[in-house]
Amino acid sequence: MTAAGMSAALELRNLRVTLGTVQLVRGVDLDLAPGETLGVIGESGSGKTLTCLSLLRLLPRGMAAQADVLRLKGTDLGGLDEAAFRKLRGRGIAMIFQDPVGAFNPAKRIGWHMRAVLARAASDGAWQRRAAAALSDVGIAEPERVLRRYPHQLSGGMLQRALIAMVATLAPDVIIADEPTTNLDNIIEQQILALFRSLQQRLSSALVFITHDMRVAALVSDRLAVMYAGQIVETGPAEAVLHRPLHPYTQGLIATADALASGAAQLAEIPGQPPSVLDPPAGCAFRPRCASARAGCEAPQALRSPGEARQVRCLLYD
Amino acid sequence: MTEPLLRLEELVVEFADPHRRVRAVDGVSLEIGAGDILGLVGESGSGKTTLAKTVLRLYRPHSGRILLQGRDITHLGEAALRPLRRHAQMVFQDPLSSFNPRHTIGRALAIPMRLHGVARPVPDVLADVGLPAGFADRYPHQLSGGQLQRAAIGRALSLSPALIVADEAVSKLDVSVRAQILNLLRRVHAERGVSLLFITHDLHVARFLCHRIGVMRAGRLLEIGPTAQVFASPAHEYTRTLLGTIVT
Ligand SMILES: Nc1ncnc2c1ncn2[C@@H]1O[C@H](COP(=O)(O)OP(=O)(O)OP(=O)(O)O)[C@@H](O)[C@H]1O
Ligand SMILES: Nc1ncnc2c1ncn2[C@@H]1O[C@H](COP(=O)(O)OP(=O)(O)O)[C@@H](O)[C@H]1O
Ligand code: SF4
Ligand SMILES: [Mg+2]
Ligand SMILES: [Mg+2]
Repeated sequence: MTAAGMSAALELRNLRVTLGTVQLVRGVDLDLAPGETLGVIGESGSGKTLTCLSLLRLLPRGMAAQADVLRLKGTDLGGLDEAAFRKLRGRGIAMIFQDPVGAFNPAKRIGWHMRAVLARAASDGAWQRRAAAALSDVGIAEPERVLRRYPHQLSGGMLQRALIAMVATLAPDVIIADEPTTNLDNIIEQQILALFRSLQQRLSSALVFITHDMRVAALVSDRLAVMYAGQIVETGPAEAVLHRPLHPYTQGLIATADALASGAAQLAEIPGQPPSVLDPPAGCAFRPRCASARAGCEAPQALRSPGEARQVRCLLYD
Repeated sequence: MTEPLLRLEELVVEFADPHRRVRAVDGVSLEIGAGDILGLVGESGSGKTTLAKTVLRLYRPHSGRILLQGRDITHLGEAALRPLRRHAQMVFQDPLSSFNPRHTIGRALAIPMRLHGVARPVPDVLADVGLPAGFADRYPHQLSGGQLQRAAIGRALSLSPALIVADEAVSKLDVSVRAQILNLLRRVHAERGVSLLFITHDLHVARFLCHRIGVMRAGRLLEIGPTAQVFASPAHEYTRTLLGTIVT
């Protein structure tokens, strides 16, 4: 992974999330340089959301997170008490959710939300003008009218823009976006992706962009991390992972996406289905679906470093 | 000219919302021939699901006509529709909510066959969609999304319908499982010659599966044509925008 240490925007080592005896996230590392975008790819249930929620201390009741290292711009988050952490939430690290509705108070207008955020951003001048400008920056037409609307009066795409405007106003060191376009249709999805790209230009925030869609990840990311069954199975520069995937799972995903895009007559399939967290296979979690499985795969696999800035959790690279 | 399998003429479907009337489908005419796969694409709220459900007469249209195998079903009552239902089956986006959680898969497959007097063993139906016979004894929550969608396709196929309407049938599936179901639909189409009305947000998926594509917006069918033609030379500005969103 890239430069860690003092300069890193975010550094996470060996994150584990458990629910009773069940291991939901099994040792995830993340490293983000300032201004960098890391795309995290994984299918439903692979542990993407729980990883994000752990970073923000927002895990559902009953779940516990443990990490060897968790630092935001050099500050050890593990050592912060709840009050100190609350100050960091929003300005140090902020999250954009798949379903933006939950981020809003349904009884309050958009203007109320924007005002609260602007107060935290220590802004001056009339808040209405600044709030309208922030909404306008994310492509909302007639922002003055939108400020008077309640959350339920906005479409999913508009609400997602409003949430992005709030987060952008705070300009946090790290923004975590958890499948921010999954609930949107094709056209709105592309608009929101374009908005993320303009944010990357405008802000110096590092971005973790989570998606299950290879094509979406490719559009916004500098680096990619592929998750499977609660672990990262491959990381590397986005271009390299997309064009020369190493892990058999990543290879399968990319073969399918390529076959679809090229209009092939038959799609490359990955047989079987993702494992259940309640009963994960011993050793390499991908083994029951892997065409390259061999003796040795039944043992747990460590990440190998087969090339420049690349890592893969597979014994083919020994 | 033989009668197409399905013909819609100037179909209009309205909903009475408390404040106003919503015209969800606004004068759509189209045909699906035997063995055709028609894809329907369009942004959220454009009326795709409403159109699909009206074709199956789960909704009653405000005006226009629906002809299935030449027969006008626009105004048929439930009793008259029942024997026709086996000819047009639906596969939904969320496979879990389309099964009764208290019935085993075997029972879920057996009931519609019994209702329509089809005598085909459940294990054969499961085998058609690549599921082991043992799944007959399982409950829906004991299957993964992809397995359940296979079962839903098997349930639809068991009645040998002439038309299957699939509304976002792969969009909720795990990415690594989606290709399996798309290949299955293609195989089923090749083997049985069943027609498909396939609704999707994903233009790549539409191009993979569909012979023709219809583009909907605000209840209207903006254009319809052979897939290659719609992709290569879209007639409508909106279609160009939509295709512009394709990432290759
Ligand atoms: N039962 C209903 N009552 C009132 N309005 C409805 C109902 N069902 C749909 N509508 C409205 O009809 C229009 C078309 O909806 P429809 O569900 O057919 O869209 P869609 O193209 O399937 O969208 P999506 O891609 O989001 O599934 C929308 O304006 C919707 O709000
Ligand atoms: N509130 C919860 N209670 C119990 N299990 C959960 C809860 N949230 C998530 N899980 C489980 O944890 C695993 C990882 O979930 P999640 O991080 O939400 O996955 P992703 O975001 O990658 O789809 C899944 O197996 C999921 O079923
Ligand atoms: S470790 Fe073995 S089973 Fe796992 S991905 Fe590599 S080859 Fe396949
Ligand atoms: Mg999630
Ligand atoms: Mg719909």
